[in-house]
Amino acid sequence: MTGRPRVDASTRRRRVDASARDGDVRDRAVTPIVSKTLEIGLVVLFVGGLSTALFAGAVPDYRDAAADRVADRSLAGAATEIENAVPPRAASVRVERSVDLPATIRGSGYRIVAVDGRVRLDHPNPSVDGSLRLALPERVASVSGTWRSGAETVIAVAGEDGRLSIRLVSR
Amino acid sequence: MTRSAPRRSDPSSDRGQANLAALVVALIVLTATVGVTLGLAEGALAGADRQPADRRAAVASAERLIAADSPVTRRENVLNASALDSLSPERLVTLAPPLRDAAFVVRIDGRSVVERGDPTDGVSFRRIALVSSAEERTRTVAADGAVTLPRRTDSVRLEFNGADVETVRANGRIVLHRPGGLRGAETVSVSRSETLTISFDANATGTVTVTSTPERTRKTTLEVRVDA
Repeated sequence: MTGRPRVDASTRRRRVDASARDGDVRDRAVTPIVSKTLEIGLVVLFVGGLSTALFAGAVPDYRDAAADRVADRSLAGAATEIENAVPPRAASVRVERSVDLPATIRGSGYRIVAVDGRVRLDHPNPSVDGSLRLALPERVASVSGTWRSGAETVIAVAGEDGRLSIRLVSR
Repeated sequence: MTRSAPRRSDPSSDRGQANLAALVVALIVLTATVGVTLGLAEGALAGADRQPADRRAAVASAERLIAADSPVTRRENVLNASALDSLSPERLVTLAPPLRDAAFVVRIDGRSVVERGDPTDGVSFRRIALVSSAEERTRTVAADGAVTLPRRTDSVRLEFNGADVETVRANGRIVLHRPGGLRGAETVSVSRSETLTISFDANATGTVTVTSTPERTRKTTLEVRVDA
């Protein structure tokens, strides 16, 4: 592209000086337009390609990975809270304890469900989940209930000694 | 004139090339910067991983091990040395379900007690606990005197074969009494929080075998390392 003016000039130089000069002037007028167009095109292509690479690939991946970490921590924290809520031996107990959970993970609400001695995190995004087994004394008979994020989340432990039941309550 | 035309066109085309080259270099530098930034973000994300599940499993297992109702403790935070020796990985997993499907090792003072798999990359949790070992001490006592047990114990077994004893006192309190004379062997529960003196009634004769189980405790570091 940049070679053209030079080729034109060398072929026409000897025949007609004036036309050669005219052609030269025209080519020189075109050169900045071509080069600017090229530059604009390159920049637009670059920005488009980079945006696509970032917002269709890397950024959602990182958001998923970070959300998964937050979910793991929240679930581990919730499991620890449940284990610590079990009171010492007593004939009859009734304990309530409130628990702090992140209101949203990756911008949306989620649920923590207790089933068969495990806690599970349910999230609308399939890449965010988790499940942990609870370590509880034998005197705990059952763990049940669901926590919805954003609600007031409470652990309620009730029952007689040897048959404690733990419920996850959201109000 | 004829020479000046190409000479004049040359700088302008050179300038065009220079601009484009500068732009391409700038874009390459920008791409490299984005690449380095992504690498840094990756590193930050990897560095922020504290393995919360492994950590929780280690903490919860240590708590379950030293709880008062654990099969390897005498009371809270006091581990039973002989029960620890017979602890198997299966029993530990039943006690602490988070260890299922995980490699783990439980160490006491650096000595491995229970081990399954190779948890080198895992998270370890340490805490201070006591390990107690109890062994039976038997002594023969003349029934006309009193005996003070040198170490505290929570139960005492007395055998009255070859003795004529009606009453046994522990620190002055009557713990055994039979008007016709005590027979066979009896076990008495006593307080562990006071030194014990055993005495008999004034008319007692013969010898009594006194068996106590004094407990020795030592401080240790309990370490649980888990790699799920």
